[in-house]
Amino acid sequence: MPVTAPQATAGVSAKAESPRDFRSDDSSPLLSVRDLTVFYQTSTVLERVRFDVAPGEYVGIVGPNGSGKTTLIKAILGLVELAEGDVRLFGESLSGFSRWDRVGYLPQMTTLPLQRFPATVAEVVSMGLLARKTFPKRLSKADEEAVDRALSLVGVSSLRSRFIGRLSGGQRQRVFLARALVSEPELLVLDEPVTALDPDGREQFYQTVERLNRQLGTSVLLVSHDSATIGKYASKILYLDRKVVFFGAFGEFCGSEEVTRYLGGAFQHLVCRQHHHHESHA
Amino acid sequence: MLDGPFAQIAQALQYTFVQRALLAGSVVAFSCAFLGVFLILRRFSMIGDGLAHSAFASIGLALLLGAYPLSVTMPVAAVASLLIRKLSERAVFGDAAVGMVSATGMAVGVFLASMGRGFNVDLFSYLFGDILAVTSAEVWGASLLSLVVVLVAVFFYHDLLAVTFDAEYARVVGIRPDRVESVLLVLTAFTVVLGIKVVGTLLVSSLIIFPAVTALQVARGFRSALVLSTVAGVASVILGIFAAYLFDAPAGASIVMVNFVFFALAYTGGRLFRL
Amino acid sequence: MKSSKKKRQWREYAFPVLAAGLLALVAGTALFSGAAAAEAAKLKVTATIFPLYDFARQVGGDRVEVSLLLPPGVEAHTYAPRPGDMIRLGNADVFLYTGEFMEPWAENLVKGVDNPALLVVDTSRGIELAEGDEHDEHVHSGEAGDHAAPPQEEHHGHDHGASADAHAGDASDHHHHHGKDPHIWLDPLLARTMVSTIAEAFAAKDSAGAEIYRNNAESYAKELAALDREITEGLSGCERRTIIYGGHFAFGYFARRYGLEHVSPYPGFAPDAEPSPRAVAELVETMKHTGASVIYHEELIDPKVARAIAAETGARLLLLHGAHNLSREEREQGLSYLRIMRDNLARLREGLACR
Repeated sequence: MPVTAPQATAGVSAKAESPRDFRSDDSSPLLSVRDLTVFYQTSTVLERVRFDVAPGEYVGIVGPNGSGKTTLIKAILGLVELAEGDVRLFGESLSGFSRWDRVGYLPQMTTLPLQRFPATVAEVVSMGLLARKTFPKRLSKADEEAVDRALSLVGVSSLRSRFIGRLSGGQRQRVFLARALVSEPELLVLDEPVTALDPDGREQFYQTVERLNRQLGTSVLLVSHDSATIGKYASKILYLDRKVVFFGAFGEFCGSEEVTRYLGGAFQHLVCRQHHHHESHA
Repeated sequence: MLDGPFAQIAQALQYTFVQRALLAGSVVAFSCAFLGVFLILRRFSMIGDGLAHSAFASIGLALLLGAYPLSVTMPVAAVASLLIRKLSERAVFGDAAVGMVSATGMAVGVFLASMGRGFNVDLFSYLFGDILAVTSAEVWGASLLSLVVVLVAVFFYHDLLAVTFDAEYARVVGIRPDRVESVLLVLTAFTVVLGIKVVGTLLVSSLIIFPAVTALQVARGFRSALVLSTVAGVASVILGIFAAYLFDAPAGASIVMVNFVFFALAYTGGRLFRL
Repeated sequence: MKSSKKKRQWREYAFPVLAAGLLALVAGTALFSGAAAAEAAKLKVTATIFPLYDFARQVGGDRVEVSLLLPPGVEAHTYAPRPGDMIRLGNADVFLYTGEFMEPWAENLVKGVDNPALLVVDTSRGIELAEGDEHDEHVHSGEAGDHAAPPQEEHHGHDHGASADAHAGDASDHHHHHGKDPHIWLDPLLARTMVSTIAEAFAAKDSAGAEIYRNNAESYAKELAALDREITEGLSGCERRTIIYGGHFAFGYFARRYGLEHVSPYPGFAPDAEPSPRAVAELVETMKHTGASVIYHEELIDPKVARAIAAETGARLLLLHGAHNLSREEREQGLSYLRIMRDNLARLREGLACR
C-alpha cells in the first residue's frame, strides 16, 4: 500500500524525553509513544508509531481491520514485546512504570469463559484496585466504597453482588468499565468498548466516558472501528494503518487534502460531519 | 456386627490406620480441592492425571540415578507442570498440553524401565499408595503441604483470582501471571505426587476435579467457591471412609462415589434454585 | 529478522535429518541384535515367569538356552513387550507360559510373532485349576483362628467360570487374574507335573536330547518330592495354622496341600484389587485374638497395607515369596525355586510357631 501520508504530528511536540512529574506540569504528555515497532512472527504489525496524549485529551484511534489498533493498545500497556521504540507513561518508560492504578483499561470483549466463572460483580470490579496494593493485598473499607462509587458511576449499583456469568453482554461491559474506573485513573484506555451494547446503550456508555473526560479531566484513548463515534466525542484522531497515517486535531483532519486523497472523501466526511454536529450541540 | 452405624464408626475410629486415613485423606483433599478450583477454571482439569503419569518418567530416572523415587518424582512433576504451562501458553490448548506431557512422561518411564536393568522392587508400588496404609511421615508431609497451600491462599488470594479470571488484565494491574501460575502448578505437582503416594492416583485426580466442579454448581462468588470446594473435598473423604467401613468396600472407590453424590446434589440443587 | 529467518530454515532441515538418523540407528541396532541371537545352536526357550525359567534350566541343562521374558522386578501384570522380546521370540524354539489366567497377554503376544516353528507350551496342562472363589477368603471377626470348615459365606456370588471364558484371549492386562487361580507352581507336587510337561515339550522339539530331558526332569522331580516332604514335616507341629497375609494371596494351592488356612484383607489374588477398611480392621482383630505375631507380605512390591497392619498390631513383617519374578538383587544372587520355597518354609515355621 503506497503510504503518502503526512508525518502528521501537529499539536504536541516531542520534547518530553526526560521524566518529570506531570502533575506539576500539565503540558507534559501522560502518554508518549516514540517510534514504536512491533513484530508478530515475521510480519511487522506496527511500524515507527509516534504520538502523544496530553492530560485531558480524548484521542480516538481508527483504522481498518488488522491495522494494529489492539496491538498498539497492548504495547502501551506492556502486554506485547516492543521490537523498537519507546513507550512512556507519566514520563516513565514501561520497564520502570509501576503505577498502573493511574491507567484504567477496558479490554476488548473477548471470549473469556465467564459463563461458569464464580465471581461476583464486586469481586470483578475490585480487581481494578490491585495495582496500588502491595503484599499482602487486602481490600479495605475504603476500597469497598470505591467499588460502590465506580458501580454507581456507570449506573449498575444494583448488580453489585450478582454473578458475573449471569449478566447480559451490556451489563458486563459496564461492569468492566467500572473496573477500569475504580482506581480513579488519569488515563482511560478503551478497546472497542461497545460491541455488546445496543444503540441506546452505546450512547449512554459514551456519555459516561465523556462526562469523566469533561468533569474530571480524565484522558481517554479510545479504539473503535466506529469512526462516527470517534468524530462525535474525541478531540483528536489517530488514523492507524500499521503506521500513523494521520494524527492531529479534528480541524486539521477535516481540512487535510492528503487525508482526502488517502482515505477518500466519504470517510473524511463521515467523521467530520459527526464532529461538527456534536460541537454545535456541546 | 449387629451394632448400629454410629457404634460401628466409633469402633472404626479406634484403629490407627483409620485415624491416619481420615487425617491424611482430609489434608490431601483440602489441597486438591483448593487447587482444583483454579485448575478447572484454567482448563487444566486433567492435570492430576497428567502429572501422575509424568511420575512414571521419574521412576525410570530414579532407577538410573539409584535414588529414592519420591526425591526424583517431586522435581520431575514440578518440571512437567511448568512444561504444561509453557506449552499451553505458546503452542497448544491446556488440555492438549496436559495430554502431551502425560503421554511423554508415561513413555519415558516405560522406556527407561525397560532398558533391561530391572528393579529390586516394583517401583510403581512405591509411588502409588493406599489410603488405608498411610505412614505418619506421610501424614506430616501432606499436612505441611496443606499449610503451604493455605498460606498461598491467604496471601495471594487476589493475585490468584485476577490471574484465573483474566491473565492479561492481571498483568495490567501489576501482577505477574507467569509467576502466579507457576506457583500454582508447582504446588499442584507436589500435591499430586504426595497425594498419589498417600491416597493413590484415582483419588488424587478425582479430588482435584470433583469438589471444584461441585462447588461451581452452587457458588455465587470466588471466595465461596473455594470454601465450598474444600469443604466438599474434606467431607467426601470422611464420609467415604465411613461408608467404606460400613459397607465393607474399598475406601478409594467409596470416596469417589461420595464425590459423585455431592456433585449430583449440587447440580440439581443449583438448577432448582435458579428456576 | 533475516538472521532469525535463516536460523529457522536451518532448524527446519535439522529436525528431519536428525529424526531420520535416529530411526536408522534404531533399526540397525535391532537388526544387529537379531542377527546375534540367531548364532547359537542350542534349543532356545523363552519363559514368561521365574518358576518356568528355573524349571526349564533344570530340565534342559546345557542343551537349552533359557531367557526370562519379565525384566527383573517387574510384576507379570505390568509387563509390556519390548522389540527385543519380539525378536527373541521370533528366534525361539519353545515358549513356556503358565496359562491364560496368569498371562492373558501371552496368546496375543505369540500370535504377533512370525515364527511358525515356535512351540507354545501351556504348562498348566493336565492340572485342574481351582476356582478363584475358593481362595477368596475374607476375614470375619468372631470366627477368628478356627477356620476349620470352609463356611458358605465365603462365596461371594460371582460366576467366575463364566467371566473367565469371557476373558480368554482378551489381551488387556487388567483383571486377568479373574477366574481361576493360576499360582500352581507354589505347590511342589503340581510343580512336578509342570516339569514333566516341559520335559516332553523339549523332547518333542529336540528328539536327540529327549533322554537327557526326561532324566533331568526325573531327578528334579525327586528334589521337588523331597521339598514336599520337608514342608509337610516342617509344618506338622505348629501352634497356629492360619497364614496372616497382608497382600494378594497367591498361596492357595500351597495352603490346601499342607492343610493351612489363610486370611488376607484383599478380596482375591488379582493384583489390582483393593482392601476395604472393614477387612483390614477385622484382620487386626483376628490377629489380636489369636496372638499372631507375624504378618506375611508378598514379594517385589512395597508392602504398604501389611506394614500398616503390622504397625497397628505390633506384629512383625515377614516375606512369603510367591516366586513370580525375582528382583535384580535376587537374580544376581542366583536364587532358585527350591531355595525360595525353603526360605518360605523357614519363615512360616517362625510365624506359625512350629516345633
